[in-house]
Amino acid sequence: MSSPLLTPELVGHLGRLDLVARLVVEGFLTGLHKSPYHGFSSEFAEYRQYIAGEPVAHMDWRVYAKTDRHYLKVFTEETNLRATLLLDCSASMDFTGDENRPTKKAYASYLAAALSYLLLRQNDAVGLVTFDEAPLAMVPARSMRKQLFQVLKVLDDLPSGSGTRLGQVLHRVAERVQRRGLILLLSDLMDDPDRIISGLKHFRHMGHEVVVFQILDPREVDLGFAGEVEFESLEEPGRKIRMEPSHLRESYMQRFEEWRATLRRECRRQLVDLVEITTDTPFEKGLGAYLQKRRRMY
Amino acid sequence: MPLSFLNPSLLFGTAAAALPIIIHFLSRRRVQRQLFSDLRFLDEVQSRQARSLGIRRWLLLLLRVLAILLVALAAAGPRWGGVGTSSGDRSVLFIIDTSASMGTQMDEGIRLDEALLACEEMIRALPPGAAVQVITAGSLTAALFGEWLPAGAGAASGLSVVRLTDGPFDLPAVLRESARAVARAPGAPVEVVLLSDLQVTGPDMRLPPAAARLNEAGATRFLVRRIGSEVPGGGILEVDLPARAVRPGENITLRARVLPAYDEQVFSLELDGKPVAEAVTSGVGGGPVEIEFPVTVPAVGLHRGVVRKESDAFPGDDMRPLVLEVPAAVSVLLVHGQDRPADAVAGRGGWRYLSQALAPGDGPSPFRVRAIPGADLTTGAMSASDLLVFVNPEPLGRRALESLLGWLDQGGAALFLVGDPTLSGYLSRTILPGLGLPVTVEFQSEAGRGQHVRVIDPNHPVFAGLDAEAVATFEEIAWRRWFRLDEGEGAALLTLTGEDPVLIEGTLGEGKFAVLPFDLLPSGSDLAASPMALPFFQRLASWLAGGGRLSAAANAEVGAEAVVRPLQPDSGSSIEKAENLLVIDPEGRGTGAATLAWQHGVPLLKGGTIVRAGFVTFVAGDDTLGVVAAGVPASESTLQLSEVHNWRIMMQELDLDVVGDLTDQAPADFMASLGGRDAAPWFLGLALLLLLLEVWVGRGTRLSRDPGQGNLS
Repeated sequence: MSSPLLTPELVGHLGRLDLVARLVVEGFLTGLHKSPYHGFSSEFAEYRQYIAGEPVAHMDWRVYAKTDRHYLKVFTEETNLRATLLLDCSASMDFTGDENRPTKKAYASYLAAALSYLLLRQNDAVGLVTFDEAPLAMVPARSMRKQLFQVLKVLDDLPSGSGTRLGQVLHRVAERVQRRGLILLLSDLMDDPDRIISGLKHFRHMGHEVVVFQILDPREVDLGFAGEVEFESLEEPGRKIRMEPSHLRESYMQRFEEWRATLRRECRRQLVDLVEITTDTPFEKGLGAYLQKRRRMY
Repeated sequence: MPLSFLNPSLLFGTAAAALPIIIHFLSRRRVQRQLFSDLRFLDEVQSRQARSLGIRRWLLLLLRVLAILLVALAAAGPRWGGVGTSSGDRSVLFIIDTSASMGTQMDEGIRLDEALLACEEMIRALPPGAAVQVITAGSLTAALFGEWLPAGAGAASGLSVVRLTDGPFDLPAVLRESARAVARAPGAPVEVVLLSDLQVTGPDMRLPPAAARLNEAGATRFLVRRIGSEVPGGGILEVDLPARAVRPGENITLRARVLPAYDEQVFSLELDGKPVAEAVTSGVGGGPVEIEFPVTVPAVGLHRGVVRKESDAFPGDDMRPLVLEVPAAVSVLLVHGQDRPADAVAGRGGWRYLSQALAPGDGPSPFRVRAIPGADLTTGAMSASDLLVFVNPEPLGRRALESLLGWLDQGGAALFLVGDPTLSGYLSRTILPGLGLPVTVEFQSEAGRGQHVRVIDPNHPVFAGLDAEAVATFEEIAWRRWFRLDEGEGAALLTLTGEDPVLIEGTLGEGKFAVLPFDLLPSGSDLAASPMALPFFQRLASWLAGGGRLSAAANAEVGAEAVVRPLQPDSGSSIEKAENLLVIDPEGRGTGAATLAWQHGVPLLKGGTIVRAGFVTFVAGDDTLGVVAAGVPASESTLQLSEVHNWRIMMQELDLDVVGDLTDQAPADFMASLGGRDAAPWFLGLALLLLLLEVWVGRGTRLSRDPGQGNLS
């Protein structure tokens, strides 16, 4: 808990929130999350009427003896969530439009740390994968207390990445995260939407619930630069564009919004939650808003 | 439409228009370097809109430059259509019409009040540095200030001494006075602002030289403000006094031409302070009407009178004075040639007959006849007479003829009877050319009954009042010998049945004359034998002797010179020896000594220009030597006003430039016409429009939210 990423204020704030998974995932630690599986170690939930053809393993014969009716015992097992944080460390995540604001990468790391703490407090398993053009580091998901230390250690030492091949990376990570769970992607999604969606589809195909935090700097949204500016690409060093942003702002914003709309539409189609956050949004407030939304839904 | 600036020195502010250009290029050189996450969106939009944005950028720059330029120009006081100079160094000459018609009532006060108020506001509206002079134009036309004054309160307060006069607006005099003022103006061109009711005036031969003089004095530009509008009616335009000598007790008719202001307007005549007659007009509009006052001629002497009208919008002519002279007798000097055998038939023809016809010895006569041969004609004898009658005269010497014509020109009267065929050469070469008549003379003789005479105008004063029987009797007279003349510029009063005129009247200067181209011998006509001969000659002589200027009673208008032919003082002394010749003005104040002048042997008393309506009296001690009745000029009573447009045309014909009409403009906005209309609001409005356009054009290129990095370029 000594990490600067998780301040007591942040933990206290998140403590008032409940993260409720939208889908019941596979898990084996007791927690708040509902499981679709009903087993022997599960907690009795209710009776329901037997329908012909169903297995009779959970038939309550005592009730049958007393009432001459067939009822099945229904169990709901409390399992813990297996969440994997995917953190984009590509060069584009090093951008900030204002030196007083954190870079997108820094902002994403705060968010990842907070989510990790929250999930671990609920006895959920947390894993972390950092990547740029390829996976850089991977912390397998576990629910132990010291897992937080492992995650924060990686987050504290994020490398300066290079370009983005988000779609390709998502496919590779999806192959390695075999057990179904919650995928939390923290990225600016600066890649081709088709490739991104393709990678997200892969996770969905694997049965994962996916939440995408799209982290952007406000200047990326409104291109709020004055005068004549020479822009240099972070991902492609040496590539420059000289222009007066004020003259192109409207078109830029329109094009940028089209891109974001595409992402929103495709994510909705794949049942992927897309949370759009800018780095000027208060960190705690942005995370809290997301968690509240999840709780209302489930 | 020319554009000028009140403060041209502020035009340096237009340099501010370069600011956007400077900022534009400075900002282009100050390139900010910025690392950015991903350039693909920037790449897309730049390649798509680079061209249109470039055009838009230059358009924005242009709009900004123009907007700043317009604001800077507005600050310099732009004026549209100004006729004056752009700076305050201007000379403005105000001409204020103080003529009688400016006394016409308006809603508030009279026209002159409005003119003075407008003039004062205009003077106060003038910028510092302007010079002002004022000319008042009425009975007298003169500059108000000795020298040009600086515009301001001092000049404006100087208007307080301007008063209404009874005189006319004398445009030639105004132009001459303006020329004097313009020549001394400190700045050029001089703007001349006329404040007048612009009464319609007739052509005046004095105008072209006066206008030329003004043009020579310096460049001028006229601005005209018409004061007031037309009102119905007018007043008493003219009183027709008897055109012949009248006798005490005689019933005569005085006629007056008036412009009624309303239906049944009452006009009255007073003589010697007593009302004697009244006339009521019928209807209104349609021009002047003539009214008549039946009067019984009072005793011998000078009688002051007035024609009054019920007051209307123009009170200036509510009273028109007149003076009626009833002479003791008409002094006739009969100049004859040598007696011929036929003249021996005294009383039936020849000059002797005429002398007896005018002054019969059997009773009082209105004529006092003195007969002399032509050789005895002197200037003194001529000047002492009211009428000269020449009957077949001996040819006059050159000096005598010149004196005669000069005497006629001054208002004398003469009757020429020439029927002697031997005098045809004298008639054609001397008498007729001197009178301005055509020189064709042809002696006509017709045997038997001859031709009869015809009266051309029975209403002529010579024949007026005669009944039809009398006229018919007159027209039965047969004529057998006469000179055929051409009436030329004269007018025939009598013609023969063959259309030859046998009585021609004409004027020479102020005088009247008549020519009868036959003598009175029975062989020439039956006139002398006709019972109509005596009344005819008496009427003819009375008409010729009466109504001329050579009288102690003169009827004139304000603005004219007061001149009378003096009566001999009652003391018996001659006019030359009369002491204390004074002129008494209409207010009863002595205005100085009268001037005695002799013209062609005629003594004339002159009292200078008449400036007020009323009676100007010439006195010598207790004796009244003459009276001039001065009325408001008829032109002032005619309240028909000219339009500025017509006035402009008239001035253009005089090569004078009328550049502005201030009539419907508030006087305080005087500078708008003198220095142009204020264009600053238009400039500012246009600048605002350009800025709005700039916002619209640049709407896609601005920050939608505050970027937090300084201002937009």
